[in-house]
Amino acid sequence: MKSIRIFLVAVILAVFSLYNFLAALEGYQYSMAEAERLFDKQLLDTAKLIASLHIEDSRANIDQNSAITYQVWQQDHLISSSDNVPATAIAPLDYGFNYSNFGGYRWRTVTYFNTESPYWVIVAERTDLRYTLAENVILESVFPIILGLPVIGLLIWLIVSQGLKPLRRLATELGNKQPHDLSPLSARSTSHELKQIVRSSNKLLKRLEGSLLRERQFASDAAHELRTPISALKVQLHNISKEIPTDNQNIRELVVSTERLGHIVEQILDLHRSSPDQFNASFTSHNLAGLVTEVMAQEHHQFESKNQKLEFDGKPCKISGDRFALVTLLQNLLSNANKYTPFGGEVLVSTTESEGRVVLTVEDSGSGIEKEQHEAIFRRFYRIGGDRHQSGVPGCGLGLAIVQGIVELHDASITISSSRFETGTAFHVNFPVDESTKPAVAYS
Amino acid sequence: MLISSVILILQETLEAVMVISILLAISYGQRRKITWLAWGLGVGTLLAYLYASHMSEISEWFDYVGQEVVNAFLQISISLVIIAYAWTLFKGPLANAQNQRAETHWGSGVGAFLAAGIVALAIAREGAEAVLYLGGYVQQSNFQSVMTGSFIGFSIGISVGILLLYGLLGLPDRWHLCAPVILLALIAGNMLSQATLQLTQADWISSTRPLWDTSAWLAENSVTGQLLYALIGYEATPSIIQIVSYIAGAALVMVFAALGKHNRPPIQDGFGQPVSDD
Repeated sequence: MKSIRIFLVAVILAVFSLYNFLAALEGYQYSMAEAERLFDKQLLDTAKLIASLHIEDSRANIDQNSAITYQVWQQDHLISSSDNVPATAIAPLDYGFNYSNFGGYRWRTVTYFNTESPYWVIVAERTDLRYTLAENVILESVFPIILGLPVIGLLIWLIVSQGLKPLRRLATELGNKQPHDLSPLSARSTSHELKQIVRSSNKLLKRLEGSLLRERQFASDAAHELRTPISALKVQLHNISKEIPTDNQNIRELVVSTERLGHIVEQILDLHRSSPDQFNASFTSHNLAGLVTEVMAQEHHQFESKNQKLEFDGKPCKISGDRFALVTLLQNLLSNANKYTPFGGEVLVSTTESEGRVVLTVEDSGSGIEKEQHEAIFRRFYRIGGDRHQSGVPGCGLGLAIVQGIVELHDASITISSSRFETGTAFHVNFPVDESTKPAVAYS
Repeated sequence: MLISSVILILQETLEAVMVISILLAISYGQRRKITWLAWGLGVGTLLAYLYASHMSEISEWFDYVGQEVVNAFLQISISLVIIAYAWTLFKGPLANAQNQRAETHWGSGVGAFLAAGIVALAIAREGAEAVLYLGGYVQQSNFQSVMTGSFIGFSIGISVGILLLYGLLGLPDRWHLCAPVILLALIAGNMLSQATLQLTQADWISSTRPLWDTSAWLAENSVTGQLLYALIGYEATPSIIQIVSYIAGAALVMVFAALGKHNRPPIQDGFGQPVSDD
């Protein structure tokens, strides 16, 4: 039952047709019986009329194809008849109605005995013609039902469509809602049956808004509250490391763990900020190539420390987006490439524009990602190989989840393929081109 | 003429429409594609045309009882395909990940093929008879009356089919598959029973006297009689062999459905319990 409209129209039309046609058949059978009774009465009246005429030795000149015929018998003698009957009795000489076959047709007969003059009068009428006559009359009443069916079907379709309008309006209103729009649905001009749904949906939206607000507050507060003690811990560690020999293994591990803890807190804050549900984006036009070179300059030290070759290849291309979110996206993609590319490896960032889309590609010469993992790596806290990741680099598995959130926020898409190097991965972020700014501005 | 046209076309339409409605209800209930219907209707129409256009030669086969024998063959074929369909129907929906491929194969592939086969055979037989009947009146003076009666019979048949389809779809979940299978069992029994009647008329099976006569209570050629004929195979004067074949056909569908269910992994409990969707 995919469509309520088709269900309603089909069932109503089926019930309508069934009732009307069964009623028409019942009417047909009743009308045929009634017509039969009237024709019989007429036949008997004709017999009585002939009997009252006291005709003897006469033959009525009635056409062979005529619908009616008669015989008048006195004892065993045929004393009068029409031309279109045989010389034998066309029905038994018993009072009443009967059927008979002669002259190539089937006939309805009536035998009448006149007591005043002792005549048997038999009058017969062709059944095919009397049925045709009756049927033609009845068919006239059935035709309007048949011809009216398409009109009735159309009317039912229009009425059902009109009746389903409030439902369609509600569906449109729900469909048009933005991800962060949790405002209540309009209950105005909603039908009585849908009011309960609207009320329940509004209650749900209100609860959802409250939950999101609490979650936002909690994540934000927790991350902020954690930042201060982590910063204090870092300072304390720095001070301790000056008092204790620098090659102390415990201190080194403590420093690494503290750095990782700080990174996780920052990533949680970024994930929270970039979530489409939470983000209050302020979209402006940006030159993606410009942003890329800017972020590359900021992050260059990471690549230098691993002696990696970082290159950019691209032309200026405009996209509409939120600057903070786009910078976070680039930082995460570059950070990932840096982490999972070995010492002395290569990372290439490019921007291209074709068929109304701007594509940002970050590719590296790392070990690559198995195809089965392509979907999983965007999950929160997911790391290939778990905590025993072969790269041995600190990470919390939130970087690509943040990237995914920002991609959704910009109505973009992200795909993964093999990089142009011998090994490695390429991330392609497919942005819609910013149509509001034409022609494209110069490369900055 | 009108009433006899209504009865004849209603009989032909109802038999085909009921089969289609039941199979559609199963497909919708399991959220499967219904492309089998287009195939069944297309192939069935072609077969009906071929059967009707060669009817004069076919009727001369087997010492002038070709039509009866071919009709009986079609009816037996429908029964057998329904039995196979019932088996795959319960064997098909395997609701675990390991058997996903098997489900696709049995539940959709073979099931859809058999459903298309049932529809094609039903349309071939009923369509050929309707075409022959209407073709005989094209040049006659009462053609209008015949066409009106045929339209009424066709409309009643389609209306019953629509109500049956939505009635089956509206049943509680545990009856979604069980009710159509029971109806398919009745149809298979009816087809086998009709086939024996045809073979009796062809003198391939010796005739026996009727076991009972309910024609005074409900005539076979009334509208109600035709509805019951299409629904449960109502016969006013059935012979013992018709009753035996009816019960055998219906029982085989139920047994094969149960066998199909028995052979699949024990994921659901008991006959008639909800069958998971794709």
